[in-house]
Formats: sequence, C-alpha cells, structure tokens
Amino acid sequence: MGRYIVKRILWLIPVVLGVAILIFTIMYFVPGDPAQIILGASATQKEIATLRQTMGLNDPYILQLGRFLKSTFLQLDFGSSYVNHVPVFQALTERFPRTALIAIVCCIFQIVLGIPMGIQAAVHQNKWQDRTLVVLAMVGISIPSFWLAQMMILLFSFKLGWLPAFGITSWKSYIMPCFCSMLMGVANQTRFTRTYMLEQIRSDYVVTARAKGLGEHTIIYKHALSNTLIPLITGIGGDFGAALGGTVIIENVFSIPGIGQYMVNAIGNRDYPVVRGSVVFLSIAFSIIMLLVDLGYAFIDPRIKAQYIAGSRKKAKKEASTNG
Amino acid sequence: MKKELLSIFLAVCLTASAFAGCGSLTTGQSSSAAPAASGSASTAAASGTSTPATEVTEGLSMDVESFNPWLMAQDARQQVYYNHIYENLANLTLDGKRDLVMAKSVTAESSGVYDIELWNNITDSNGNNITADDVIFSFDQCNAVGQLSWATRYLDHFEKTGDYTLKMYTKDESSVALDMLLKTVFIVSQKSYEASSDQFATTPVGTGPYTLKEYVPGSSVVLTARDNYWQTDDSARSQASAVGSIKTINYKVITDSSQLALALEMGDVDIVAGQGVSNTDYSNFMDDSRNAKSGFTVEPYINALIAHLELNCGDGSPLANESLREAIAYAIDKQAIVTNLFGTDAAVCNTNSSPYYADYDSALDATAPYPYSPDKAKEKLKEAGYTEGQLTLNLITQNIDYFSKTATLIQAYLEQVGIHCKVSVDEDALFQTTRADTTGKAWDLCLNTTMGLNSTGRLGVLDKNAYSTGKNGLYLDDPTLQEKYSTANLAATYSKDTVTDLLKYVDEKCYLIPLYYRKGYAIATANVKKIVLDRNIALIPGASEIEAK
Amino acid sequence: MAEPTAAAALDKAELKRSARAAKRRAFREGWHRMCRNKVAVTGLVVIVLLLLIAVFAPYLSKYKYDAIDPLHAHLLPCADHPFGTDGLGRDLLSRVLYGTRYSLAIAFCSQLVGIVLGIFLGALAGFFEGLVSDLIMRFCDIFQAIPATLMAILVSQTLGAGFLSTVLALAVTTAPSTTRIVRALILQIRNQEFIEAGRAINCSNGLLICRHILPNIIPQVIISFTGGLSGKFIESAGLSYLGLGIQPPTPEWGALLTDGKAFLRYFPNLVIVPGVFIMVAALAFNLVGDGLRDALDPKMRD
Repeated sequence: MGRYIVKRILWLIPVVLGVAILIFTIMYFVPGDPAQIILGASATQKEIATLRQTMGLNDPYILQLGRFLKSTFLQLDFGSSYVNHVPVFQALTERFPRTALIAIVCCIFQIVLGIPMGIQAAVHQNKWQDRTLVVLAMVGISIPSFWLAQMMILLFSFKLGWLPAFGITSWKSYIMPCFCSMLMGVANQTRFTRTYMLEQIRSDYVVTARAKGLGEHTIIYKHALSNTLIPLITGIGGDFGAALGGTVIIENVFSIPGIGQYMVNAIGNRDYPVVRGSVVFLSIAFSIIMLLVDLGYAFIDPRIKAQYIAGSRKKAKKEASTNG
Repeated sequence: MKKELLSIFLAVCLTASAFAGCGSLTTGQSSSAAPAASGSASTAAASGTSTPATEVTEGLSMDVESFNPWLMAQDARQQVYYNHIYENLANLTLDGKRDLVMAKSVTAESSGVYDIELWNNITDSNGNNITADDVIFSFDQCNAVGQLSWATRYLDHFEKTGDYTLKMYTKDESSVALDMLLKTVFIVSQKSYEASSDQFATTPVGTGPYTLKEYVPGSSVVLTARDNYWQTDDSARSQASAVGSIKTINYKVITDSSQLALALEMGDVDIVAGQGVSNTDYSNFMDDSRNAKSGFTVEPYINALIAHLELNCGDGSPLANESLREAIAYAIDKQAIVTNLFGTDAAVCNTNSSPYYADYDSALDATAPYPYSPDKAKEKLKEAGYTEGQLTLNLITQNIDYFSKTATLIQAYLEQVGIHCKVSVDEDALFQTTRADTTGKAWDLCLNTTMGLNSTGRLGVLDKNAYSTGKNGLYLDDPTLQEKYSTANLAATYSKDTVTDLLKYVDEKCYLIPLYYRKGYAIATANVKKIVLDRNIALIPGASEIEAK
Repeated sequence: MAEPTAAAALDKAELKRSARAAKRRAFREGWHRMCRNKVAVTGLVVIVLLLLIAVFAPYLSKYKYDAIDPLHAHLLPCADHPFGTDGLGRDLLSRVLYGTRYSLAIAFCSQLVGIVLGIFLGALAGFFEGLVSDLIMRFCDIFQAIPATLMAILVSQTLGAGFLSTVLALAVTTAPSTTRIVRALILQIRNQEFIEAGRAINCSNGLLICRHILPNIIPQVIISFTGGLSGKFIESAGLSYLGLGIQPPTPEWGALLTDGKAFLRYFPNLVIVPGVFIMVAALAFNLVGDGLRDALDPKMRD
C-alpha cells in the first residue's frame, strides 16, 4: 500500500513540472507586451523597450524558462504581479478560499442532491419520478451557467432586490454563484448515479439477493449503493476540478474576487507571473485532490485492497519460509 | 407663535450655512460654519438634514490591489489614495488650474528650470518630516518601479538647494512637463518607505489628510482622517487635501456598471465618480435633458479622452493618398454616430481637441472641415483613383462596447461610398501590439482614444521623436507636421495659437479624423449637495458638500 | 488445385458479405431502438430544424443581420421586430437566426477536430506500447491538469479572435479525454482474437487499424461526439462572453450575449433570446446523444 502511495506522489512531480513548462511556453507565445500594457498607450517605444529590459523579457526563451522554474520550484517563490507588484502567492492564498468555497459547495450539493435523485430515478425507472428527474437533469446540463447567472441577477437582484449580485459583502453574495455553478454538476451527478444504479440493479448479485428473499430496501441502500459509490467517488475528484474551472466565468459575472477572476484579468494584462503562478498552484491543488481520491478509491474498493494485502501477505509468507 | 419663530430661525441658519459652505470650498472652513446651525437644527428635531456628514461611501468600479504610490494611475487609485493618503507637489483642479499641495511655491527660473520650495512642516502619518531629499528619493523610487515613465520622462534631474528647496530641470522643455511632474509622482518619506516590509502595498504611510484603516482586497477600503495633518494654515490648504467634516471614507468595489447604479439607487453607496456608472444607466438618475431626478445630485464633466481615427499614412499604404483620406473624412456622419451611441452624452469633434482642454479653440471646432457628404466622398474616391468596391481597408479597434459599435458604424458609412472595410475588434493587449507594429502593414485605420495634459500632449502619435523608426505613429515623416508639433509642444512656444496652427494643419491634411468626446456624470444621492472633482475626475469628499443621511 | 482456391475465395467473399450484413443489421437495430425513444426523436427534430434555419437563414429573416437602423435602436419586442432590436437597431430575430450558422459551425468543427485529434493520439497510444504511449498519456495528464475553460482562454488569446482560433481553442479541451477513451478501447480490442488472427495471416498494421479496429470504436466515438457537442455551444458562448472567441458584429449566439450584457437591466430581451437558443440547441444535442448511447450500448438493452 505504501509503495502505491509513494508511486502516485512521485507521479505528481513530472505532471506539475510539465504544467509549469506548458503554461510558460503558452504565455511566451501569446502575442501582446506586458510592458506596453503597464505603460499605457502614451508611452514611447524607447520607454517600453527599457521596461522590457528591466523585466527581463528580452532574454532568450531558455534563460527565462530556467529562471521561472528555478524560482518557482527551488525557491518556492511565485514572483510578483507585473501590474501591481503584489506577491502572487499572497494573492492566491487570499483568493483561493473564495473559489474553493464555491467549488466545495458544488461538490456537497452534488452528493447531497445528485445522488439521492439519481437513486430515486433508478429505483422508479420509467415511472413519473424517473421521467421528471431525467428531464430536469437534461435541462440542467443544457443551461449555460453564466446565462442562468444573468437571469438570476435580473430576477433576484434587479427586479426583486433580494440578493446582492456583486462582490462578497455577505454570505448572501454566495447564494447565486453557488447555485449557478452547481447546477450542471448536480444534473450530471443525477444522470450518472441513475446509470450506475440501473447497472447494479440489473446485475446478477441483485437477482440472487432478491431470490434469497432480502428486503428491497437492504438491497438498494446497502448493496447496490455501496457498489455505485465507488465510481461516483472517483468522479468527485474530477468534479471538484471541473467546478474550479467553471467558477472562472461565474466569478466574472458576479465580480467575486477569487482565483478565476484573478487569472482571467492577468491573462488580459499579460501578467505572466500571475498566470503562471496561478496555473501551477491550481494544478498542484488539483493533482493532490485526485491523489487523495485515488487513494480513497483504493481503500474503499475491496478488490484493489485485496491485491495489496494479498501481495504483502505473500511476501511475509515467502520471507517466513526462507528464514525458517 | 414659538413654532413659527423657530422655523424662521432654522431657515435663516440653513441659508447661512449654505452660503458659508459655498464660500469656504478653498479654505475648508465649511466644517466650522455648519455645526453651529446643525446643533440647533437637531435639538428642534426638524428634518436634521443640515448636519454635515462625517462619513461617506463611494462606489469604485475596480479594486486598488496595492497601495504603492507609484503604480499605474488607475481610476481606483485616483479615487482612493491620490491626495487622500499620499500627496503630490501640486495637483490640478477640474478646470486645469494648478493646486499647490506640498510645494509652497513653484517659480520658473529659466526655460525648463523651476525652483520648488516645500512647506517645512510636512509630516507623514508616522511623524516623519518631508525634506527635499525625500522628493528626490520618491522620484528615484518611482523610476525604479517603472510604471510612470510616461510622466517622469520629462525630468532631467533635481538639484537640492536647501533642506526644503530644490531646482527641477526638465527635459525636452515640453509644455506639459511641469504639471506632469508636479502631479504624477507622489512624495513619501524615505524613512517610512524603507521601514515598510512590502513597499507600502498594504500599509501605506503618506502625508495626506487620511490614513488607511482597513482594506479587504477586492471588496472595500476604509480611510480615516488624520488628527495630526500637517497643514494647519487653512488659507494655504489645497483643494485636493480638503477634509471638511468627512472623517471616514468608505469605498465599495462594484465592478459592474448596472450594479453600481443599483447600489446608488438603494443607497448602498453615496457617490460614484470617475469611471463609474456608464451612460447606459444614466436614465435612472437623470432625465433626457440630463437634469438630476429627485433624490440624486449629478455633476457633469468632460472626459479627457477624444475618440479619433488614425490613418496609416505610410509610403506603402493606400492612405498615403490625400484624396483618399479626404474621401474617408467626408464619408463619416459623426453626428449620427454620436446620437445613436450616446444621445446627448457625447459631442462631435470637428477638430482634434475638446472643451476639456484649456487650449481649445471653439472657433476651430465650429465648422467641420469635411462635413458629412457621401457624394463628395465618392468624388474624392474617384479622384484618388479607385473605383467603387475596389478598395478594402483594415480597421482595428479595442473590444470595448462603444468602440466596436463605432467601428461597425464607420464600416457601414464606408461601404456606403464604395470602400470595403474589414473590422478587427481585439482585446487590449493584442490591439496595442498591432497598433505598435513597425512594418506599417498591420492596419490601415485605427479607431483609438487618447488624452493628455493639453491638446498637443494628446497627439503624441504625431511626434516622430517618440519612435525609433524615423517615422511617427502614423508611419509618416512630414517635416511641416513635425515642426508645427514641436512649436506647439515646447513650453517656450506653447500657446493657444500654436496649438490651433497644429490642429488646423492636421485637420487639413486629414492625418487624424477626430470623432467625438464623451460627457460623463458623477452621480450621488440627494444628501450630497455638491460634488467636487479634480482633473482626474477623482472625488474630493472634503471639498464636496455632503450632509448626513 | 484451382477448385479449393475458388471455394476458399467464395467462402471469403461470403464471410465478408455476412459480416457487412451483420453490421448493417446492428446499426438498423440501434436506429430502431432510438426511434422508439420519443425524447431523443424530439431532440433530433430540433436539430434538423436548427440545421434548416442555418441553411435558409437569409430567407427566414426579414432583415439582414448587419442592417443598421439607428433610429430604431433598443426596441423591445414588437410587431416589426419580434425579439426587439439591439444598440445599432439591428433586428435581434434575424441576428439570432443567422447566428445559428456560426454557432452550429463552431460547435461541430471544434468537436470534430477534437475527436479526430483524440482518435489519432489515442490510436497511437493504444497501438504502440511503451514510450510513445507513456508520453502521450503524460501529455494528456498535463493538459487536463489545467482547467478546461482556462485552457480555452489561453489558446484563444494565443491565436487571436476569430473562427479558426476558437475552433482550435475548444478542440484542445476535448482532445485529452477522447484520447483516453480511444486508447482504452483500443487496448481492449487489440487483444481480441480476430486481431490475433489478422496478425497471424500477416495483415499490415495499417490495415488492421483501418479495417478492423477503427470500425469497432465508431459507436463509442459517435456517442462521445454527440455527447460533447452540447458542451461546445456553452463553451464557445462562454469564450465570447469573456471577450475572446467570436467578436461582434458576427452574430454568433455568445457574441450576442456579450453585446447585450450591459443592457441586462433595461433590455433583457437582448440577453434572454440568445441564451434560450443556446439552451435549446444544447438540450437537443444532449437528448440525441443520450438516445444514441442508449441505442448503441448493449448494456442498456432492456
């Protein structure tokens, strides 16, 4: 088991490194000059050239890449924004909790709403519960979240005045963003849960259990559900990542000062340190979550567990026989 | 009987305080006049609206992000800490007059050399005294940060002549040099700056009348008035550092214009100045003739930016042909564009200047050199040697709503006279890169806005010396243009006449086709009786008349 | 010796014919199963309608999509303009109808490019073991570690605004997951007996891939294609909303949303109408995608 964990952690390193190199390269080739944006339109070419020199932007690709990798991974320094000189890591630690909050709320509702709805749909297949939930789920994954956001702002903010539609002034400011972000996730979760549950319900062991006379409730909620949970939980890790990405536009619509807005603005300003630092930060966070989910998956799924325990037992036996 | 006497007495006091308030704008004495009246007003338990406010909430459309004094001049910084936390040597009032702040006097010794004397009792909120050394230090640090080089380029060097006096030598002797340098660079104490762990990013220490109390990034800022503000001589106090009765200024960051408008309507914020509410939301606060609706106060201002069409006059470009340039000028109906996009919130520019600028010549602007005439345009097109539909021009602009709409309209007008036009709407970074392209083949028409401290300063694109290619920003090398530009630029020869001369030449040659300037409004709730702004369209709460809600 | 070879040739031809017939039957069965699914059929009808609108837009719209009419700017829905007009007086109905072309085109092209790229890479990774496969999978890991929206934004900014760059930006987000799916499928298939048999009679690799492996992954590819298509409408609208992707005055639905967002409070029709169209298109493709999956997936047979 330990070997598996160590192996997975070691896999993180080349992936994060790869992400860093990829994002550096992309930003290197994106047209646009940060010095020009900082100095504005009234700056002369000479002034822009001077600033570029100061910022080290005239150095060759490899040199700049080396500098970036060294400072990010060896010195753990994500640099400072070109535009406002605020250290990137400091800004990220301030902003990440807000984005993470929305993403976590999405995941929670996915579990709390999506799974039960999916189970209901599966259990009552082809009856009215199933049909309604499937239609609702289908509509849920078809609505663009930022458009829904604007509709909600129109209704709850402009017409009714119940909810604030901007910034993070109170807990109420998070209601609409969370709702818009979670809709697609919950809808998808309902569909997937329904699919997996239906698979389980049709499988042999359920037929056997029914034949043995086990109660329907036990079959569904104890046996079928635990088998369904395995692929679902693996999905949650990916869902968190998707939720993180999805908040990019939602933060823009609701003016939430989270990571998404930070990055989008930085891309527009060609604020290289911010974009690179944020992407590396996010990819590390995302990879760690996937790692935890994979490990959790390994612990829950008895087949994988058995593999490792059987393996270690075999090893112990072998050692005993050679020593004895 | 007693009641009537009391109400007459109240009315008299209210009128008196109103007059006192008006007169004391430059002296900041409004706070002393009002309390006497308000005391009796509140005891009478009347409306209580004559109490001057001690707190005001302003809406911002973007976040400050950092309190370092020498970062890019953005609207948020201008509203929040320019002249509130930090001070400059001199500021500019809304109508462009110099407003001395830290400088006690500024006198020209010779061309391009100025003697500056500081007040000797300037202290920052840590108690450190500001000397001439701190001025030099501040300018050096500003250059180290490097974001304001478009202003500091005018400085050649300083020469310290005493503890509180120095000589400033400006480069290029440009007419805008002095005010640019006096107003753009904020002066701090070297001791305080070096003691700061993050270069004032979150813990600014300045000489201004307010200090930072609280900052929630992306959300809000709170400033509180200093007890120990150094300028105790009220008659010498600058308008920019007025405090009045406002002891606390709250700022709320609301990035969306409609939301900002909503916040004003609901009373969540009291005032929005600068780049706040956009003209799509004006109808909530003003009627069609732009009079304030009940419950609101508005203050009109003219936006320094003038929209114009830059024409690529380079050798290989079709627009090197003057007849073609004139054809384009005749083809565009500027008034229709203005009416359609802005209604009365913008005005046509017939010349490359606007009433915002002190050197604006209204006579020059009164007659259009190329009034809208599709027939004349077609004539000129033929004269240039093109048949209708033969030519395709490339128009670039930024992806801001009214820019892309203006571009679409211009495209339609050009199509009307037989010139095809391809419109490229790009985000800012890409637009700037394309515009700065040195080959001269990247664009034919560029829809852009520029501003400056005066009309010449605004037209830096015409100056050959600002570029390293030997041509100016329009890929053009016209000695007459360069000569007229220099004459209108240098401090020694700058005058309304030389500016008019330059603009006449530019208009005639059609190098730039001026389009329009926009009018904006600072909007406040009714408890704000008068809104006072400076040249940056930044609110000066202390100088405005704000009553408690 | 001529007779046995003739018989063998006849058998081979017979085998081929029956194989093709079996495939056709399977597809027909799947098609019939889908037709019984009323919901999926509704989706299909909507898609056909959208395609018709895209093709016949000039005849269906009263005004041209770029016909500027400043005197009638910002009209709310009325008799002359059923959806109202925008800031330059252009008829919103016409713009939305024309926009169908651009939105459908972008969604289709980006999904197609993404799937083709994914098939190519997945086939390489699945067929050639070792370093090639590992490298490709690590590339996929790296690309997927960056949130999809962000990736699209970055590629879009690198390539600039416009149709082609938007297509590529969106395709890049689909390619990694398709690569994984195709690789998994190919790993499954290549160990099956008929491939071993093919190898035994010395079929070339290329022949194996084209004739035998690829046809077997087609059902899954079709499911992935239609399933992801709905997302592309939403993603391309999202890019335009952020100011990238397709720019105004092109009447792509997302660009229409961007145009209207400043006026949400006063002229909500400018925001409501394009959004509804996006939703309807995405829903239609989702329904059809689900229907196809149900029809072609043997496990769901019930």
